[in-house]
Amino acid sequence: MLKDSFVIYRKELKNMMKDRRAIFSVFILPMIILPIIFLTIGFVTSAQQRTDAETLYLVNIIGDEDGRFTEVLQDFLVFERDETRVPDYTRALESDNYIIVELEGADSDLTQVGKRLDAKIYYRSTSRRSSFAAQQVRNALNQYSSLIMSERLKALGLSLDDLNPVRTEMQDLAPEEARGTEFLAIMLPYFVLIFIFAGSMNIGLDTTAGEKERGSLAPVLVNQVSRSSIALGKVFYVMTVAVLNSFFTFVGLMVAFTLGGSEAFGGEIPVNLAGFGIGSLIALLLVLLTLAGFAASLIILVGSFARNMKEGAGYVMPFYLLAIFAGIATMNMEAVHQIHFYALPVVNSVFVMKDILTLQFFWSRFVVMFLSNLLYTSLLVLGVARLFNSEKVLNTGS
Amino acid sequence: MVSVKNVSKTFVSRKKKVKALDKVFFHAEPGEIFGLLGPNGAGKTTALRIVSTLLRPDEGEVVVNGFNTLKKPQQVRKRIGFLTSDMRLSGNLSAKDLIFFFADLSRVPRETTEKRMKELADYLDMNDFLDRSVDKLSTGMKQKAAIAVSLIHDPDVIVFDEPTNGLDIITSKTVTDFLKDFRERGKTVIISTHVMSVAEKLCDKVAIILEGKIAENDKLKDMYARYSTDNLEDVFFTVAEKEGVLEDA
Repeated sequence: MLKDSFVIYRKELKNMMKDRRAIFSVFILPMIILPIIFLTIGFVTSAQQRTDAETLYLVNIIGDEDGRFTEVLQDFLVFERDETRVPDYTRALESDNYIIVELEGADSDLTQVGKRLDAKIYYRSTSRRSSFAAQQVRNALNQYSSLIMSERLKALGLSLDDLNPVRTEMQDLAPEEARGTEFLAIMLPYFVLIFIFAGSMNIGLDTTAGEKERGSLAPVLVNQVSRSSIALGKVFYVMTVAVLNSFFTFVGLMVAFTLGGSEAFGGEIPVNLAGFGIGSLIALLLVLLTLAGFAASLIILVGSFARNMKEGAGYVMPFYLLAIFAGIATMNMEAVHQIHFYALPVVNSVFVMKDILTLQFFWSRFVVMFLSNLLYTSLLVLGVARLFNSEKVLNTGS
Repeated sequence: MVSVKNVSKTFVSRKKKVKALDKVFFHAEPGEIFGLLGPNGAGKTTALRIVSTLLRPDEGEVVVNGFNTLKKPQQVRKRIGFLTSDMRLSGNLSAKDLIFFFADLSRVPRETTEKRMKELADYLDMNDFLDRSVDKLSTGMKQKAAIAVSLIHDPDVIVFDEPTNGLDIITSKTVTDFLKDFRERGKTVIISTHVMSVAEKLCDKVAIILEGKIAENDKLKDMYARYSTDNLEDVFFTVAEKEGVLEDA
C-alpha cells in the first residue's frame, strides 16, 4: 500500500516541482516576503517615530506665567511657544503640530499644601503627530508634578525617597540564553499556523476538487492501486508541501527578526536565537510535521466533498478561519499547565511551539501533543480513505 | 468480452431518488465496437462507469473477460482502459511523465513501459511532443496523450465515454481511426455517444438507451433490416417515439 501511495506522492510532487510559480509561492516567497514585510513595517514605524520626535510643534501654553513648565517641556518636545496666549481651538483641530495647554492655578504658590494646578491639553486624537505632542506634554506635566512634589517635601524636611519606603529590584532567573525569546514565542506559532493551513489549502483542493473538476481523477481510480493508497499518497504530498512551506516561513521569520524586523512590533524587542540547538530544531520540526499532517488530511477530507475548486474553497474556508482564530487567541497566551490542553488539535501545537521557543521543554506536553496529533491525523486519513471508496463522493465531479 | 446483465442503479440525494439505469443489458465481443446510444441524461455515462468499476450496480452484474466487477474489481481494472472526453489533462508533467505514472499505477515493468510507450508514440504520432508539458499541448495532442495513458497497460477492453465530444474534425478522425484499429487488433471497444453519425461510422452493435432503459439492442445491420432503413437517426426516432420519449421532451 505504501509503495502505491508513493507512486501518487511522487507524481504530485513532481508536478508541483515543475511549476515555477508554485515553487516561488511555497518556498521562495515566505523567505523573501516576510523579511520584506517586517523590515518595511519596522522601517516605516521607526521613521514615523523619528519624524514625530523631530517635528517642530507650536504649543500655546496658557497660564504658565513664570515659565517653569515651559522649561520642563523643553526636555520632552521640540517646540515654539505661541506667544498670542489666546487659545485657537480651530487651529488645534485643523493642524497636526499645534496644541493648546491650559494651566489653571499655575500663578499660585504650588509649593503650598492645598494649592493645585489644573491642566488641560487640547489636541486631535486622529492626528498621529498631535497625539504624540499631547502625550509628551502629559509626560512633561508628570515631571513637573514630581518637581513640585519634591519642593513641597523639601519644605517639610523630606525627600521623594521618603515617600517610597519600598525599593524594588527585579532579578531575572531565566537562563541567559532563554531571555529575549518571548517575542518569537508570540509571533512564530501564529505565522507557522497560517502558512501551514494556507499552504495546504491551495494544493489540497487542487488535488481533490481540482482533479474532479478536470475529470482527471476517474482514470486514476480505474487502476489497480487501492483507493486508500491514492488517499494516503495525496495526504503525504499535501503534508510535505505544508511542512516545507512552514519551514521556509520559519527561516523567513528568523531572517526578518535577525535583521531587526521585530521593531515593527513596538520598537527594540530583543530576539535571541542563540539558545536554539539541534534538539530544539528537531522538536520544532516534529511539531510542524504533526500539525501539517493534521491540516493536510483535514483539507483533503473536506476538499473531497466538493465538486470543483470554487465549492471546495467555500468548504475549507471556515476551517482556515478557525485556525487563524486559534492562532490569534493563543498569540499572547503563555503555554498552559493543564495537560488536557495538549490534546486539543492546533492549540496543542501552538503551546508546544511556545515551550520550545522559550527553551522550556516538557516531555509530557510534547508526547501528549504528538500522540494526539497522530491520532487525529490517522482518523482523518481513515476518513479520506473511506471517502475515496465512496462512489457518491467521487462521482460528483463530472 | 463485456457482458452487462440486468444492471440497475439509483442515485439517492437528500432531495430525490433518480433511477439512472433500469435492468440494462448489453454484450460486446472481442474485435467489436459496441455503441451505447442515447440523448443526454439517458444513463450512458452511468452504464460505462459501472463497467469501469467506478460505480457499483445496485442490481445485476457486469462481467469483463470473465471477471465480475463487484467481486474482482482489480482484475477488471487490469483489463480495462477508461477514457472520457471530459478528461482534461493538465499540469506541468509531460505526456511521458503521465504515461510512466499510469504505467506505475498499473504495475507495468519499466522496460515494458519504455517499449509500449515507443510503440504508442509512433502509432499516435506523438514523438514531437512526448516531453512537452501537457499544459502546452493542443486539444488534439492532449487527446492523443490521454489515449496513450489509457492504453499503456495494454488493456483488452477500452471504454470510451463520448469519444468525439468537443473535438475538432481532425482530432475526431484520429480518435475514430484509433478505435477502428483497436477493433482490428481483436480488442473489445465500448463507446457511448449521442452523435448518430459517430455510431454509424464506428459501431458493429448498438444499444439505444432511453431514460435508463435499453429500448433497442442489436447488430447495426440487423437493426437497419428490421426498421427498413439505412439510417440510424430514423431508427432512433422510431424507437424514441414508440417509447414515448419524444412526447416527454
